[in-house]
Amino acid sequence: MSTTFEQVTAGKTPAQVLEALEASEVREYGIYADRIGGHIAKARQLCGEDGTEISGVTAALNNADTDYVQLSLLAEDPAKVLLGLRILAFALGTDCMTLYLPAAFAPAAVTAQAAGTSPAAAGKAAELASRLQPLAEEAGVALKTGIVDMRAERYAVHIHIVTAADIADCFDGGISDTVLLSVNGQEPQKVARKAAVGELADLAKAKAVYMNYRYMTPEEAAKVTADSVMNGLVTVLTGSDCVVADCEKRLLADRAQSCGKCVFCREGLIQLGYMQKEITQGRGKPEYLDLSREIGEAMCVSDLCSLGQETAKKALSGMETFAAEYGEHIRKKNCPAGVCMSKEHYYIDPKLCTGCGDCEDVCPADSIEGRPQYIYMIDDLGCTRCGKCIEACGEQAIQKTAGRLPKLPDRLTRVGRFHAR
Amino acid sequence: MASITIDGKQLTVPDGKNVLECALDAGIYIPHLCHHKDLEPIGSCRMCIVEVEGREGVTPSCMLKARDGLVIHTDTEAVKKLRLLALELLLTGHPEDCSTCPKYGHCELQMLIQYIGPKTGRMKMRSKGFQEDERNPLLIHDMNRCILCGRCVRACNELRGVKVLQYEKRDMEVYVGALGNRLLTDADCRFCGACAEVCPTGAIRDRNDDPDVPKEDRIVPCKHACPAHTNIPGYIRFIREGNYDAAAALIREKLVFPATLGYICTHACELDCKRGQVNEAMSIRNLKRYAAEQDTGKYWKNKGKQLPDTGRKVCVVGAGPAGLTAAYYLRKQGHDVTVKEALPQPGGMLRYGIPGYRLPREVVDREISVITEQGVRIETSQKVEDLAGLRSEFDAVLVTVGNHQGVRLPMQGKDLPGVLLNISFLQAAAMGEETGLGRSVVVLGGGNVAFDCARTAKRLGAEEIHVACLEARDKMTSDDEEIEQAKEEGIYVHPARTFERITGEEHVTGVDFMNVKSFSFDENHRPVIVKEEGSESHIDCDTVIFATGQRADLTEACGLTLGRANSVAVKDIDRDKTSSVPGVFAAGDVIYGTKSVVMAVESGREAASQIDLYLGGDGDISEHLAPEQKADPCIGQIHGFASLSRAKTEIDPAAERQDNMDLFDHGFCKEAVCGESERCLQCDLRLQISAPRTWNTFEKEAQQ
Repeated sequence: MSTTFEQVTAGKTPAQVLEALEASEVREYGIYADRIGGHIAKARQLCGEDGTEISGVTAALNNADTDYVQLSLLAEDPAKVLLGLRILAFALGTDCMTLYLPAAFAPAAVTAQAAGTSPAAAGKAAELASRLQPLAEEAGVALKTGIVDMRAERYAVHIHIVTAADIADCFDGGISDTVLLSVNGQEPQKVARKAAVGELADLAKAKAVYMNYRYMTPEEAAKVTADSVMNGLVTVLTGSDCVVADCEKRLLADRAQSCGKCVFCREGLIQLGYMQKEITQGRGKPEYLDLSREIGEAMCVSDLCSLGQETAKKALSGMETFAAEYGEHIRKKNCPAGVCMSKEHYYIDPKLCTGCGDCEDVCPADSIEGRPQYIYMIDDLGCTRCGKCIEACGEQAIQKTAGRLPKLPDRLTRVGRFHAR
Repeated sequence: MASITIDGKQLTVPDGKNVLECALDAGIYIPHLCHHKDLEPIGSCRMCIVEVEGREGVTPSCMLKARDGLVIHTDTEAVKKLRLLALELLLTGHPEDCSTCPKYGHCELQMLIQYIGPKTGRMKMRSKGFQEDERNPLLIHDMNRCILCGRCVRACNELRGVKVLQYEKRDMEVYVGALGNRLLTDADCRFCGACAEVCPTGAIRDRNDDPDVPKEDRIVPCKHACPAHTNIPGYIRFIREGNYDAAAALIREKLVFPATLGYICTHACELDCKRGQVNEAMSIRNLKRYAAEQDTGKYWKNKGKQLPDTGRKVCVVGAGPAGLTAAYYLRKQGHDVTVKEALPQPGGMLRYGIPGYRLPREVVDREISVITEQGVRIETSQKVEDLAGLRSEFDAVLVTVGNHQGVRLPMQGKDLPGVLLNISFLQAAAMGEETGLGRSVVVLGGGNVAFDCARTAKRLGAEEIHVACLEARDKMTSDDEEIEQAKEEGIYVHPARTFERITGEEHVTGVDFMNVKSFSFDENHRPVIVKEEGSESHIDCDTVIFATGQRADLTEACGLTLGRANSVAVKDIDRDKTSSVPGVFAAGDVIYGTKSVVMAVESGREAASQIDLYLGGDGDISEHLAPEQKADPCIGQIHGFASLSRAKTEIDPAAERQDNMDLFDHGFCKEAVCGESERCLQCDLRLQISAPRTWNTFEKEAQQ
């Protein structure tokens, strides 16, 4: 970034800068896509309703974003994003500026996994944070991690990191005609803003596309332009991918990111995730679809930020657009993609079990019954297929099968007394 | 002002006021959980959602600001459906064991369930898997019961400015605690209890939540423990502000002897002080002493109540703390009061019982002069034998003669020359008369009076002094500091000893003891003592002082019915202080046995009120002397608050103090006062916090 804040604002009043901004091509990127002027007007309206003034500006990824593709933009040119934020703050007459980085930078492996990024990526992000620190300090921008606290920052104007960069470009020769896009989690590429997803991603074998916090058909996805991909990530699901399993995994990442203050986001995500998981395990019930819909629709209107509002849409769109796939899981206990564990059963080979009870001790679901010197049995309904019993068994007596279960004891039977007939 | 309509009811409300508060104030109940009157709304629980005409969807009413023309519906089908769904979701992580929950019956969540309706059972329930956290003093955290309304976080951060409680996350479960799950003591918690006060469920609770104790007494135990219910947190706050006049005035509202009690009060308040559970109890008595010493009388001198003369005459017999307190208030109620005192000077035990090295006589003189300046007449050296007979001269009589007769235990050698009685000994010492003290002394008894005797004997020149008592060391009734200071002065203390006999033919030669194995009381309050076999021991001495209790110096000749141990029998010790003769009342030690000065003061106040009623007054002796206090709820952060230690007074070393009757404890210096007053948990602030408004209180209002 060559242009400085001083160069942009030299001899200009905030009103002039704001006017220039409102007349520009700059659009808010992401979930709240709008002309920048309209975006500011919405924030103004909220302040007006509550009889207060705009309290500051923030730049961040959308709270619902757990893929962090657009952080690459920040990594590439942090000064640009900071400049954009400063220009907006100047235009709005505030000096309260905050740049948010995702909390998933934390080295905790569970967070990294849940966020779908590798630990290496998390390390890279942490490196970014340390690089940003001095620059932000110099620009007078507060650096925070985590999602934007929409309660504390209720009266701020919130812009996407991409928008901030565009604002800077807008005052330095015009906004770029490209935007970052990642297909299937690959390294993000600069692509033309108006290029259609159909041209950028190979949808030939696609069954579904996950994009914009929804599962959509390849036909629908193909028409979306690159600058309308809300977080810069297009995920193509083929015949060997399962929509239900994918959705369950993403809901878990959302839960990890949720701050837990709004009841619908906090508890709704748990219920949705639970039902999705049950469906992947072949234990889904038809009424789950109705309940998921009721909770999901309530989340869309009940939560304060995009994390609650948007995340439910993945479950809702999946169930609606790929109703057949869900139906197959629930009614036929079958995963067409062969991904879900729903067909896999764990059982204890009655010939090998020595009745030691080690498996019972480690089972977190309390789903192994028996008693010493008797053959232990797994309750298939309660079993979560976690595999702890397999590790614990010294006799390799615990088996997995995707097919039919062999004949097993149905009551307490002494070791050595079981005869399959 | 804005005109809004809620469920068809038109309200005029301040523009911009949150609609939930508007409704509640107007008697319209909207269910709510995360909202609390004293805290900023956050709109997280979704219980208070409403529909606004012309707006899509629902809005939490706590976040909605009143604007002219808003038409609001609180109970539409859409609202009810979403509200039930929100409640069901809230309950998925909450244990289903209401009946065993300590908060049962006071739980706002439980009451919400009653109002909104039972859940449908379609949700997946889970246990959050937190352990109940009992590591902290005063507070219990049970995060399984937390429904994350965030009230405690706001109370701690916004209301109190203490900033200890935060939202935390562990294994995907959000909970509330100090940053990084630290102990509250390590996180500089101020233990104000605001979190427990606003918690709607049983998630943050007081350790002491005994439902049999009234809430205010439980929350401010020091004030409750004080027999006179002095506003302790209030005066400590004035002291912290440096306003000692106001502090002294506030103390004086309940205690006529602030300085005296500042020196010698038995401070029951300190035993119950909640700070004691954090590290060490507040040094309340010494703070009071400092305030009383700095007092200029700005707020109370010539400013208290003085009703016009009633022409009624009252005689108070006995010028001790109980009698003088009663006389003071009776005079203020407009009665003509005469105090008759048997001894040459007024003060009772303050002058003739408590040794001068603990309570300087100038302090007593100064505080009695306040009473005489109010118009109370004190006649000294006037022993009254016929108490009932006084009734013919006076409209009412109050007997406050105290317990001035020592008790000799029935044992061999009790009447030998060289055997002295506690009260007579202390009295003689106080008057500068011959006490009969020898060279080596054994004091029998383990209370404060025993130590007064021993330490006085030391100061009168006795060379070897022993104190022996039945109780084990930790059961001795004397203050710990008395025992420790006595030891410093070279006095030997022998706990858990029986007194077998006093030896000697013509004069005391010593005392035989045995060791006590166990000492308890049976169901009839009779002592049960088990001795250790073969543990006989003997201490040589030439003087024995019985400090094993005292009783009233009264006989049937006084004309009143006497009770246990020569006490004056009254109808009810706590309430009706009328004796067997109408118009004759009694108060202080003479009705309930030897207790404390502060008890006597309270007993005297109570008697004054009753006598005033008897004489046709309204019985209201209360006074407002101190200026109104504005207690700032935002107490802020103090680094290392939990480990701030109890301030020490300046005490002369044993070598300097043990041979004279001069005051040896010089109280707090100004610095110590500042530090000590900062340590107060300000438990009383919690009483400012608004009570929850639940649907049943609205039903009651609606019925009325």
